[in-house]
Amino acid sequence: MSNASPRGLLVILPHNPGDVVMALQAIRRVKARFGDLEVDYLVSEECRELVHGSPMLRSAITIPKRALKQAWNAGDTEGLHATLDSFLRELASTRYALSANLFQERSGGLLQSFVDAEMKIGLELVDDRNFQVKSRFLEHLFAIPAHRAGNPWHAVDIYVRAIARALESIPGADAADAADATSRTLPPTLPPTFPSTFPSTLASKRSDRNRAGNAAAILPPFIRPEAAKRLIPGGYLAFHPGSAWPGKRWPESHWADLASRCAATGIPIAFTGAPEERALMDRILARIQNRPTAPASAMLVDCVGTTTLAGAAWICGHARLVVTGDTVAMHLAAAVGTPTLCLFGASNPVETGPYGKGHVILQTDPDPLPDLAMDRDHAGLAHLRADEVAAYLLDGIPPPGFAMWETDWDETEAMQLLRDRKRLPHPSLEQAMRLARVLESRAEQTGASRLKPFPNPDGPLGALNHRLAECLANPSSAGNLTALEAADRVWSEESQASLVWEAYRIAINGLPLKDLHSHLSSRFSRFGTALWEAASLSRDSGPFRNAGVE
Amino acid sequence: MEPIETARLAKQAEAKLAQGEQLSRQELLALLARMLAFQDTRKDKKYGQP
Repeated sequence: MSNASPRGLLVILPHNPGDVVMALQAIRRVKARFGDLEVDYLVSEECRELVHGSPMLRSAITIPKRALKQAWNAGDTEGLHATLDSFLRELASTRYALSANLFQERSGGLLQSFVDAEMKIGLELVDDRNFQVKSRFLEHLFAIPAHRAGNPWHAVDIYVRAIARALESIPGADAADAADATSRTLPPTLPPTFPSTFPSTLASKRSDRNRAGNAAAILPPFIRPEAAKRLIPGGYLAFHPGSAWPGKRWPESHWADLASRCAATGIPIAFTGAPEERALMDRILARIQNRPTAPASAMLVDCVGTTTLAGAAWICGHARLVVTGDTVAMHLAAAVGTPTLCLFGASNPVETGPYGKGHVILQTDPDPLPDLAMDRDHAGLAHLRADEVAAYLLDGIPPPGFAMWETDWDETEAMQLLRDRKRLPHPSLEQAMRLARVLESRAEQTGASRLKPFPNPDGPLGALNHRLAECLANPSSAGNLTALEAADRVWSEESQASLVWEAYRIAINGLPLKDLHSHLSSRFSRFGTALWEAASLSRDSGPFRNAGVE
Repeated sequence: MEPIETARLAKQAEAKLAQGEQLSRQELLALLARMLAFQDTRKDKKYGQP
């Protein structure tokens, strides 16, 4: 453990690539608010190149996964512990003012327990048996995995609020304006680089300079991949057909059809993807070549499996426009300011959509709060035809029968929101506003929470719901905890788990309690233990606090 | 061939956490080593390394 004065921020979000890009976007906004803040980043080897060399970061600490796995598989106990010890020493060598664990897995909570920081937010193993979630905004993030369809916040906005509020609460922190405790003056993310009349950007290159500046502000320097040598910056479309999740994949026949239609107009198409998506790409190319009017091979630039993440970023960053599902390509393009057309199936565009103004999202689930069955094919995606997407891309004709959202920025709330074609906000926005009022204690100032009342059927769950509703009506009441605990004791006879604060978190998010039991079961199986409310300051708590290698 | 004792400690740590029981430092380190080495990478596609 370091004896130096605490300095700076450590962000823990090792992977996946898209999540890392979102964390970088959050860091950019936080640094704009706290000008001199030094930021370190804890990253996985797979995502290392996204953060190493980023101009926003002081340093990046890499988890030595390959060395640990190699030693483990070889039965090399000594090597395993030497690698782990070295890594934990590096992790504990800096004393931070704040550590923010944005990673919703237990390994993130374990890692946070080894960090030396004045204050910690996010999941942490705080003693020898309990994980805790600290910071109210991160409570929201950790409450939603089973209910992500109803999450009203974009993940980046949650990260920004959680980190900014924590920094503002640290005595002597380098806040540019400590009196502004709401973080509302944080600037929006990257400036808009294109108008809402989206397809017209196909004929415009004027945003290229902005994009280069955006990329240089966030990401490490791009390296043009060999496979992209033929591409003229700003003169092609980038397609990212793959996804690790079936529920996010548009059918390969549709990709082939769309590529053929676009290439036929003289626009080259660059395909990006990971090596695991090589077979998928081969099938798409075979379908294209089997068409009666197959485009010339020069119009198709296949980069799937041949680039690094930085190479994929170059391709997305220099494209006229990127067509993709909810993927890392979408986040990379959004971070740079490349327009994106995103085809959303089994994920929530409000929570993980492209972050930045003016992106277009086609949501194929008829419910604005979609069914998040990501591990199976999504029927709605299959129903979205390639000719309809092509008509929109090339002629600006929206596909009939599908929701189309455009990302926008709410200056008042300092958060991203989605609007439909009539400029009406996404239905989750109202919920987001209620949540903001509760989380920022403004409900107390206005005299009442506007959260909807919950049903009150007979039985233990009904009693717990009733107590929760009372808490929501009067969040500051000192009797809340006692009443909740009493109701929880009865409820636990049914649920076999004492998770009242999980229920409370669900409730303050305005989520339907009909799924409470499934949520609690999911949470319990995931963490193996309850998540308990905690004080925000952690410096002296728990035997594993700052448990660097001795 | 996994490190037998470390693997046993990691498994024991998992069971203890599930029961809300106290972990020893050795159990904690074993659990962390296993988690970091074998973190689920289903979504973590392996792009080419620079």
